[in-house]
Amino acid sequence: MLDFTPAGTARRQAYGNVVVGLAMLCICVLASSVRLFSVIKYESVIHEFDPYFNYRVSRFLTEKGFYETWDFFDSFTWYPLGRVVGGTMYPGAAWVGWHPPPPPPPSPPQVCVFTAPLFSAFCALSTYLFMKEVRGQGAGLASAAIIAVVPSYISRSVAGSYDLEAVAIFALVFVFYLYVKTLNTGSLKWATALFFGYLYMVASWGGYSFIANLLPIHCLACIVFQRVSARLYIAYAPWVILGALAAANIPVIGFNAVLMSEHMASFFVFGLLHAALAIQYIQQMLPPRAYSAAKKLVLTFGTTALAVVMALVVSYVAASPTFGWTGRSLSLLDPTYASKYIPIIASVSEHQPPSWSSYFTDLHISSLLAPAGLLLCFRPLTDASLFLLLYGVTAVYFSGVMVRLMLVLAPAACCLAGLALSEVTSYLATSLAAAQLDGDSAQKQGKKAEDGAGGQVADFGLRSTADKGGKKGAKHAKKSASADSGWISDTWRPLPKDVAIVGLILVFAGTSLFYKHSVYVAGEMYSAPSIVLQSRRADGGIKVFDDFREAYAWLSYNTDPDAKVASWWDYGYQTTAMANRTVIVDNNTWNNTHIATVGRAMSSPERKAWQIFRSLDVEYVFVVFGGFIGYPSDDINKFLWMVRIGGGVFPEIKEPNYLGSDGNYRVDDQAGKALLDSTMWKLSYYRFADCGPMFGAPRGYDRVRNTVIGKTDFELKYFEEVFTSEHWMMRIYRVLDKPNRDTKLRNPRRTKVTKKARSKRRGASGALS
Amino acid sequence: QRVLVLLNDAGLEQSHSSFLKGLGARGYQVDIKPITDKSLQLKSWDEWLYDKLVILGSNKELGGAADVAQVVEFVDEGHDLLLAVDSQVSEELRELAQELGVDIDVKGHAVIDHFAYDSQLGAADHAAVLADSAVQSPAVLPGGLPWPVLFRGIALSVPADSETAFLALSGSPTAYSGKPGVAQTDAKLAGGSLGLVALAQLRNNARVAVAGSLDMCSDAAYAAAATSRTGQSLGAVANRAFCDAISKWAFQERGVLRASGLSHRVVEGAEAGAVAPERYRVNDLVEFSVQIHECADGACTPYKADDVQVELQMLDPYVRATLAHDDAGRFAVRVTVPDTYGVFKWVLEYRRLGYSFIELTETVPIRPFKHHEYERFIVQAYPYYASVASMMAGFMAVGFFFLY
Repeated sequence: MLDFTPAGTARRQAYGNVVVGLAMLCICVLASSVRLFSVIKYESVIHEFDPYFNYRVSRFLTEKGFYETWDFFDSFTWYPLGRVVGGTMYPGAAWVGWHPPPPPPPSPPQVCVFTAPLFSAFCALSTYLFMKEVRGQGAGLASAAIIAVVPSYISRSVAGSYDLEAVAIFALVFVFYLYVKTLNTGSLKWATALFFGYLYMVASWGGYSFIANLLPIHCLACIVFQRVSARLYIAYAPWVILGALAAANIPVIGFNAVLMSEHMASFFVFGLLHAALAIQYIQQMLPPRAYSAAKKLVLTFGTTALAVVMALVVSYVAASPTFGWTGRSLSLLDPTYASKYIPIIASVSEHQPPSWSSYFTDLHISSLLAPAGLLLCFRPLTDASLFLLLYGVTAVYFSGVMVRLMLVLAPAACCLAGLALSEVTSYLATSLAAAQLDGDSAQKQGKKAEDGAGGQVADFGLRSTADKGGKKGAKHAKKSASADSGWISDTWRPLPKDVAIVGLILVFAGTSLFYKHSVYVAGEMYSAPSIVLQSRRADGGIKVFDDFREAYAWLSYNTDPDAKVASWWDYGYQTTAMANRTVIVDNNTWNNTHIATVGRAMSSPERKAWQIFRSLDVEYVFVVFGGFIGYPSDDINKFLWMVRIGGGVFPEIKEPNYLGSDGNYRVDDQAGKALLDSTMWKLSYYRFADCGPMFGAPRGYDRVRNTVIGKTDFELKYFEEVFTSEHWMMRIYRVLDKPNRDTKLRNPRRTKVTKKARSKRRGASGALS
Repeated sequence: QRVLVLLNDAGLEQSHSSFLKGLGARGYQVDIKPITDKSLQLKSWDEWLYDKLVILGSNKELGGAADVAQVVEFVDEGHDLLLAVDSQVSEELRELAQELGVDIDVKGHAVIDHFAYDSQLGAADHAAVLADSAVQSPAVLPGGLPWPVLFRGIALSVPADSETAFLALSGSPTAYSGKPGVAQTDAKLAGGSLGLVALAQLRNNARVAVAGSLDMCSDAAYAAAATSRTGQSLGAVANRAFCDAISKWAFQERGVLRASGLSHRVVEGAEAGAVAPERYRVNDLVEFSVQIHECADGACTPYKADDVQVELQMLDPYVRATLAHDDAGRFAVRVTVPDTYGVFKWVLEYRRLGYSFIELTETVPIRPFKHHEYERFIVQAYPYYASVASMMAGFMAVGFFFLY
């Protein structure tokens, strides 16, 4: 028999807390460890592109200190413009990599490599707290258990993925938790905490503008649904002012915090909230008749004032070419904007809209449960659940615009799914308990067994504790549902015992499948560092392609420390971080013209490219080439973007010239003439035909494009091959100097030397001849 | 320094003994070989056996291991070459000259001048011309040309837009290139663009002299006296002085500029006094200085010129300033760096006819102000300070009245 005396309830409460604590510990360990596949399968390296920048800034921070980093002017990138790194970066992630000098044994890479798994655990914790505020412990545990392994989040937070998003998703959820906590308690203490949380979020990621718009939307919804309260005011109003100050203090945002349209909504709703409160206040003060007269008066004046303000805002906004929005934000509001006007944004694969299948791969069961969670937000509709609801709906929209924002959807989907899962489980479990209460007295033992199992595996912990917390939640729901005279059903009826058992088994099976899928995805799909590649050999062994690091090491050991290296912007961060050489453009795509100049050089014939590179003092050019081993994301496949970006600034580059006669991009003998003449073609395919990459393939067979290339034998006049990595993935060329002698100049008075003498020449005669 | 002299035939050693002795007298270790020598070697493994090369060539080709490519490589690695040919020039030597940026006319042609010829030596074919239009460069010919140069040989030409080659001695307005004794109505090469002696200063500062005449530097020419078409004596010829000048220039004994001690420092700014700082701040006042010396005849003296300029470039020059010198070879200028941050470089490019090129670059990034380096408490900000203070005071007042 359950003990319903106060002492018994307190004891059960205490047991429950211990179980919840253990479960959360397991969830955190799980969240971290599932992200360690990349270290186990590959090695402890920094992944991909952007993390290399954060790593480099962390290194700088460690060596030079906080203030130097604030004023970090980087002369190694964007040569010769340089980049004011301190003023153009979100430092949140880099701060994490800081450690006091002199470096203790875990050197910066180790700190940076394991930042993401650590913050994933923090994220699971803050998800628990957030959902606990929204609905209760059960929903919190279920959501934390889901977000710990949701593939979408894993994709950006495996060990080594030292990216902004790795820390920012934690910050995002934590800010939501603080907001909801402030909303529920109405305490200034939590409002202060919200400010600090928001400060870290703003420092971490440009995605802070999602919060900056979501909070006003929530506040507006509260005003519209007449849910204005002092608690809302405490949560929202200080955040607007202090949040704007916080944002303005991060150099990369600065005055944008009050100038850009992204931030306007919060101020607008701030005013509206005051108006709503004023109306409430006046309504209390005045007798009804006076109130209606005052209302008329205020409405007239208010509308006029509002119209004036709106006119001012509109005229200010219309004066700026992008209507006060940044290009990236505009591409969110109008999904076709980027592909039409900003090829540099459209060229990034993570800025493409996601495919339907990626929702299932990345969210799995949460994409099924989330809609149910949306419905459950209405049952009952509290301020907090309204917030979750709005978060879910807006995140779904944004995720549809670009793949990258799946990451914002992931916590929302997990919270909603966790809510649904916990409600379903608690409903089923309560039915079971009710049946047992009615039926026999053996449940005491069963209860014990269930509690014992709870702490061992996170999954079981989820079930048993969701049961506990859920009961409370269900009771709560029952109460408020009857008070609300809810629109689904206001009477609670237990399910039959066997239906409940089957239901529980189904839930268990579903979550198990989700875990299996997530662990598989974490291990196989999202752990590749992309700097080291692997493929399986026929005999089952693993072949490692370490060409990138090989080439960067070559650069760092064999070139002058002052040498400038040109490549497509994708490899800029890696070159500065790994080869420690000056680059022309990098992944911080702040100067479109500069990138277009490199695109133009790559798309131009050799001589023109040579002139452009010389004018930029470039000494080495490298291209990434996959035709030898079949690595598909090489520069030839990216080439059309170079043409588009180059052509966007320099109209002499015309995309149709690079396409075959049938209008397709192809590299065989039907390829466009400009493509065959371009420097990118020559640097990629130089000497390619002579090396015979694959047994039995025809001469000059490209394994990525699966065709014989259009032009096989040619010489380079203005570039000199200096290094080609083992699998030809990186090919480094030296830009030749100006010739030592002026030999081939036009001279109308010259009488040519006869052939006979020339035939005696042997060997090359030096630069450019 | 070792000089290899390659002779078309053994007789040249006799006929050019003054010239060759002159080389020896200037301290060179002269090694004389026939051009066709089967054992001819310019380098052994990776080491050059000679520092300078003189080719007194004509119809024969290079023998042994030497060929055009190797001679070009010799020059490309910073060695000097003096090449003299005559009208019987072989195709190989023509090709060699062409590789070095000087075009020699075809075999059999000669420079003819029916007006400015020497009436004693060139009465028959008018091909012994008296040339007096020499290059105006104190580095090549310090005192100019006092008398005409007696010249019998083949014409040269230099591409109009060549940055490396120039004519040291060019034809008179009436000179042209043709076959002696054959009437012709048109000449591809004529007048001032017809070269008699061409010099080239390559980008690595190696020097090449190409003379269209072998006789020009012979003992006979040294001793000759010029007589004009009308039989009037023009006094001596300047051949000895000219040949000496050409060989001295070609062997880096004249017109060599040495730049050293490039230095820059901040005069006024964040790091005032810092010598060769890692970077400047925008609007710093900085000083750029460099030592330039001119080396001639084995001695280096301070270079004196008022046209040495330095630029501060980031894609384009932002600042171009003329350096002032102190008569002791130190060239310096003070410049306020632009109000633009970026990776700038000092570029000093000095190219004057006959002088060796000076190309110096020094990269110095210019950084923006640090967060604490901006001016504070500016007058324009006082209204804002006042508004903040009044706001705080007002809040206090309202709070006080509201609470008490």
